[in-house]
Amino acid sequence: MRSPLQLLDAGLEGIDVWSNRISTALFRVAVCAALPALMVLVTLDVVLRYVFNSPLPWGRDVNGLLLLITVFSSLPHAWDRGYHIRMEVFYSRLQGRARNLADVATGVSGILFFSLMGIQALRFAPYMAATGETGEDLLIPVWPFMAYMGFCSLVLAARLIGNPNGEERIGVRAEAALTDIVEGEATDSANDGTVPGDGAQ
Amino acid sequence: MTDRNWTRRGVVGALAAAASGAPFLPRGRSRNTGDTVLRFTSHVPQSHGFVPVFTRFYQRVEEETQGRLRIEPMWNGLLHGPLDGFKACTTGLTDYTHGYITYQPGSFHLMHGLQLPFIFPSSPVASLVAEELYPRFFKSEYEAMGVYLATCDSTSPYQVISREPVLTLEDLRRLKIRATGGIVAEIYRELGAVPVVMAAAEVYPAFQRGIIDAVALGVPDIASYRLQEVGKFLTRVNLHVTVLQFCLNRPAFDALPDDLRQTFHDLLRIRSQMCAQDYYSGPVEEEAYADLRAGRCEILDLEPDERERWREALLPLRNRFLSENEAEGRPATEMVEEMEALSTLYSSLSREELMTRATENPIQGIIDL
Repeated sequence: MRSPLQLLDAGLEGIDVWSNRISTALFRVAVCAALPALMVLVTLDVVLRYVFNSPLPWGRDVNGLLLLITVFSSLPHAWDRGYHIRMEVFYSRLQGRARNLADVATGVSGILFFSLMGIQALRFAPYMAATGETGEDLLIPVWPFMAYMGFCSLVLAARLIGNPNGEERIGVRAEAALTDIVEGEATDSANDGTVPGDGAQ
Repeated sequence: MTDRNWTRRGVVGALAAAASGAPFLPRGRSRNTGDTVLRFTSHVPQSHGFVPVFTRFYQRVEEETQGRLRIEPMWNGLLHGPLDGFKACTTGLTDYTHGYITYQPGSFHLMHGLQLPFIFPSSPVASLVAEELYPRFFKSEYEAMGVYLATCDSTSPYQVISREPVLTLEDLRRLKIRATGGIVAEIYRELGAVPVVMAAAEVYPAFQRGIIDAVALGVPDIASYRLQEVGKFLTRVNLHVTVLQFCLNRPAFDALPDDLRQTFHDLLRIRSQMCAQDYYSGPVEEEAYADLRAGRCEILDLEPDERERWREALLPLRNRFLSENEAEGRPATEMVEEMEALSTLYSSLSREELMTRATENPIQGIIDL
C-alpha cells in the first residue's frame, strides 16, 4: 500500500515524464520549423524590399507570429536546459535546503504566472474566433496562435511542477549513460587486459 | 528523499496554501451602484498632443454630473497595448479605451468604408458623419466585439510627405510609402505606389535611412514625428481620413444610473467634436503647418485636373468595396451614398455650428439606453 506522499511523487513523476516529451516536441517545432521559416521570410522580405522594391504586405504579421511560435515553443525546453536568465549572484551561493527553497519560490511564481497566462490565452481563443480576429495585414484567423501560446504556457507550468529544480535532464541522462559506458569499458578491459580507449591502436 | 522530490512537494504545498487563500481575494473591481469612477486606459504617452483634450473632457464630465461620474485616466500603456483594446474592455481590465477597427480589420466590413478616399474634407465632419451613420450601419459590427462604442474620432485628412516633390500620379508610382494596413494600403497600391506597413514609431528612422520614400499621415502627426526634418515636400491631397473608435465596457456602462447613462452618452458626442476640433484640426493643425514651413518643408497642392486623375484612379477600389459588401448582403451602396451626402451637408457648417449640433442635438442610439 503506497502512502499519499508516494502517490503524490508518482503523480509528479508522471507529469514530469509527459511534459518533458511534449516539451521536446515543441522545441523541435521551434528549431526545425518556426525558426528556419522566420529566417527565410526575413531574408526574402529584405531582398524583395531593397532589390525588387516590392515588400511583402503581410511580412510583418507573419514575422510576429513566427517569432511568437519560436519563443513559446522553446520556453519549456529552455527551462530544462537552463537557457533562461537566473539571478546567479545569489543562487550560486545557496546550498542544500536554501537552494531548494529558492527553487520552490521560483517554481511557484513561475507556475502561477504561466498558468494564468495559459488559461487567459485559452479563454481569449474562442472570443477571437467568434469575432473573426485577424492580423492587421494578414487576413487569416489568429485565434489558433493564441491557443498555441496558451498550450505552451501550460506545458511550461507542467515542467515547473515536474522539474522545479530546472535540472538538465538530457545532460543528466547523457552523463549517466557516459558513466555506464566508461564503467562497462573498465570492466571489459579488466577482463581482457586492455586500456580503456586504446581500441583504435 | 531526493532534492527533486523535496522541491516538488514544496511547490505543491505552496500552491495548495495559495489556493486555500484564493476564496478570500477580492473578485474584480467594485461594481456597486454608487461606484461612479470609470477607468480610461490608453497606450498613448502622456506627452501626446491630445491628452489635454481628454483631460478637459474628464473635467467637463465631472462638472456636468456634479461629481457623480469621474473618469480616471491611465496613460502610457500601463495596463495594455494598443492592439488589446477590445480584449481589455471585454475582460473588465478597463472601462473605456481605444477600440480601433484598423487594428482588427478582419472583424469589420462596412466600417472600413469610412476610410474610402475623397469622402471627408475634415476631421470634425468625418467624426460627426461616422457617429450619425453608426446606429444604422455599423452598430451590429461593432457591438459584436462585446463592447459599446464610446466615440468616433477622426484624424485630419492624410497628406503625403516625401523627399522628392509629388505633383502627379507618375511621381507617386513605385514610391515606397508608409501606410497603415487594410483599405488604406489598398488606396496607395491602387495609385501605383508600394505601401509599406510599419509602426508609427519606426517611421522616422525608416524615412531617414531611405527604407521608405514617402509617408502618408495627417499633418499634426507629421509634425509630432518631426518628419519635416527628412521630407522636404508635403503634397496636400486630402486623400482619406482614419476614423478611430473608442469603446466602453458594457457592465461598467450598464451599472451607471439611468440619468448618468444618458448624460454620459450625450457628453461623449461632444467629446468626439472636442478631439476632432482641438487636436486634429483648427489651431493645432495650423501650428503643425507652421512647424513644417519652419522646417523648410515646401507645401504643394495638386492641380484640379490632377486631383481628378487621382480620384478616377481610385474608383475601382471604391467599386470593389461596394460589390464585395453587397455580395455579402451588406448595404454598402446605401451607406456610401448617405456618407457622401452627409459629408457634403456638414462641410458647409462652421466648426462652431458643428459643435453646437453635437451639444444641442446629440446623436441618439449609439448605445441603447
